[in-house]
Amino acid sequence: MIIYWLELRKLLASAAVWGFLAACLLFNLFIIGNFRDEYADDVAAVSKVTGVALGQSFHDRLSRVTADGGQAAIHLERLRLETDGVTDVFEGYRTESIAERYIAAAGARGYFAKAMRDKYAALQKVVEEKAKRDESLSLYFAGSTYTRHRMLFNTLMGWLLVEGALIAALAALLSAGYEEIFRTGHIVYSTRTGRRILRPKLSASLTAGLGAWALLALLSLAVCFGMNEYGEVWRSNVSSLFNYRFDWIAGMRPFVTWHSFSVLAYLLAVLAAGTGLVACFSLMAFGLGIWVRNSYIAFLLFLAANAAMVAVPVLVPQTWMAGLAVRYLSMLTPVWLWLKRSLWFTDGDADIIWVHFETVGLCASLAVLAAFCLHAGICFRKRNLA
Amino acid sequence: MRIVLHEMRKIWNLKIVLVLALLCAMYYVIFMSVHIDYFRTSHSQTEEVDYAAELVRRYGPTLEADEYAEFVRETREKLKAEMEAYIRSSPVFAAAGIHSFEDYERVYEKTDRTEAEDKAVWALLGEEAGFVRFRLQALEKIEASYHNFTEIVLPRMLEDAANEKERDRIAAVMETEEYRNIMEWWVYDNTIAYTLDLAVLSVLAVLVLVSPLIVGDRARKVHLLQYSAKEGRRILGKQLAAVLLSAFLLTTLLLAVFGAIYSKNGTWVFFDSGLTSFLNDSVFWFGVTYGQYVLLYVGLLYILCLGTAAMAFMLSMHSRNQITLILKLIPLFAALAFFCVLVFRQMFGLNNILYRWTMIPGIEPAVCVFVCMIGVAAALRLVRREQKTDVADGT
Repeated sequence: MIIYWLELRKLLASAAVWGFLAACLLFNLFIIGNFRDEYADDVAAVSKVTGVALGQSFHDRLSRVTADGGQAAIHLERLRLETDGVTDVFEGYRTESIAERYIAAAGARGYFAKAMRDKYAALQKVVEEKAKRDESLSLYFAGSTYTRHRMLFNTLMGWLLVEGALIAALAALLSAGYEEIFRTGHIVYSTRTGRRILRPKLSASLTAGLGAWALLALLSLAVCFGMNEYGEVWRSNVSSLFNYRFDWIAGMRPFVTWHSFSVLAYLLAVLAAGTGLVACFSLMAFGLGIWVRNSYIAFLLFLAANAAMVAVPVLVPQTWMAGLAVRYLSMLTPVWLWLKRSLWFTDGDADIIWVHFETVGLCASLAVLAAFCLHAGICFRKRNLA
Repeated sequence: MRIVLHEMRKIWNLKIVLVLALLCAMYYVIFMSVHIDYFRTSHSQTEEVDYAAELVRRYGPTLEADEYAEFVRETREKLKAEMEAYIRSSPVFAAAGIHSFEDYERVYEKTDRTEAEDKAVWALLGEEAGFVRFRLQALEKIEASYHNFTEIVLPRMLEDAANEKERDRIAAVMETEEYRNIMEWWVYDNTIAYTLDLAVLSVLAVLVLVSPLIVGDRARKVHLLQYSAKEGRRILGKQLAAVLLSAFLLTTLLLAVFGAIYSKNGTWVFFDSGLTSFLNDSVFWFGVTYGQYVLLYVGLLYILCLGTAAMAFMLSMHSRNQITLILKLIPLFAALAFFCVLVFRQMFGLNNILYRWTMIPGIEPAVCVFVCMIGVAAALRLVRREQKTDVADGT
């Protein structure tokens, strides 16, 4: 345990790490500062009085809300217009056509076409459940829902994950390559602990990486929610009729999640999945750091490996079944999970054929990368370091 | 010079060069290939670019009023004849009650077409008919641009001008008829997007290649050994020279490779065409041509890459190991990539972000030179300061 703490101290003692964290935080503040939306703030403020379940009682309470005039009055009127006469978007909503469009666009055949159809058959049941529960009759941020949802779960979360992944990867490389960098390997590896030191090193780098991600997320989100009013919107359902998603194949359609998520629950679920994703990048970097003794080249390889993961589905011809398999399996890799972050816990898009792709992808990636690290560690035990 | 060459050999480390080549290839596949693979693949973009190229070949870089009238008349007649012939030869049209070009246009405008009419409309838009209706659409777009630019676009720009300088420039364009240049917007937009991506890649490649030199030496305390040799602390100046020379070589290599790839698009036909054009929908501060624009871009890219190399040298000197170096390089790369967007998007245009912020026409090259000078001057100052640094404590 003492070695773990010493390794962790080594990582945290670097001023550059803290400087990088500060730079990331500054950048996040810049992003958050650029996303001011007064209408959304006013909707959130009104939600404290009206609640978030749309219906007659909502309208009764909304009609009692008054504004002092100016912008607030305009916003109140807009909210009345937007919420007046709304209907459940899941009532009579069919998902089969989405599957057929995705199959046609991707040229999916055989097992892949069947998997896509199965996914949307499963989604149809979810939609029917949502219709029964009137899940879409939820306020969220009314007309500002799409922009605010994207701002938090796509833009800010996307940058947070990039920053977390980078810092976790660099912490892992620093930990794995520390003895090489400071020329202490021959002393460390000749001690009683010897090469078993990799275990505390891995634990320390995971702790440092995940800790840095947690710190960044905590501070950035605290500022974000401090600057943007959320009121009762936390209790809104993310599958609100005001929330939607768009792709060029299936067009604009409701934001359907496999489970019923309030905004707060969805945020927590995304943060949990994000933690898993950062851990994946940390494991990948640690494994590479053991294989490649030069930390600089290891980092370049880390970048190249992730870039290759992005490029492979583009390069492989989709006319082969193997090409399709590569494409769909690639979506389970950490870098593609990051690229598809705005679709986590939903049905995904034309590239995704499996239900709960983010959970499957994270579990598979964690398992493969843990095995990769283990294998690298076993090989390292026998490596000639002379 | 011998020492500079040896330092360059250290910089061009085979492993780093190979990984860098892999990174460049991946970057190309992910970001840049789209500008090559999908250029002139949609309609009527293809036809618009083809007509613009034809105009340049027939009339040179500018289009006078009589030339415009001749081109439109001739092309329209030719297209009409082609369509008439196709309509007469194919039974699809007769089935839809279409017997002439006028009939076709009447059906084309309809919103509630029958299945037969729909089939007939798509027949002239298809490959079998040589995309002839798209060619007509492109011609109509040229006609619309020719009239709208002087009657709507320029007057609106004049109205919306932010200051007197902008008004003077737009008035000068109207007076001198500079808008008669033939520069297709798709070509300009494609070149801008590709060159911007190339600039970001060049900055990344320079940072990756030159940064490890100093930090590697310092981590192994080789610099102390070097300082005690005959060359002494002058070695640092030579290392800076090696870094700058390597950055220059790498930029040349990247420009040669990615320039050669871009030549596939065949946009060089517009080399002498001015950018301020009725087809480009924009006004630029100077009467710069497409060719001059590209050459200026190349010059600025060299300047930017040299500045980048000097900054990387500084960061490398202030880093204890390669990981702390990377932690410093990432924010530097982000800042430089953002800087590339500021400089190279709509360079010299009235909508360039840097110009919009400062309201100084032609600020882009000045800022590039400034960044390079700051980087090189700071690196030189560091080199001079190192001459007097006490290294007895072993740092």
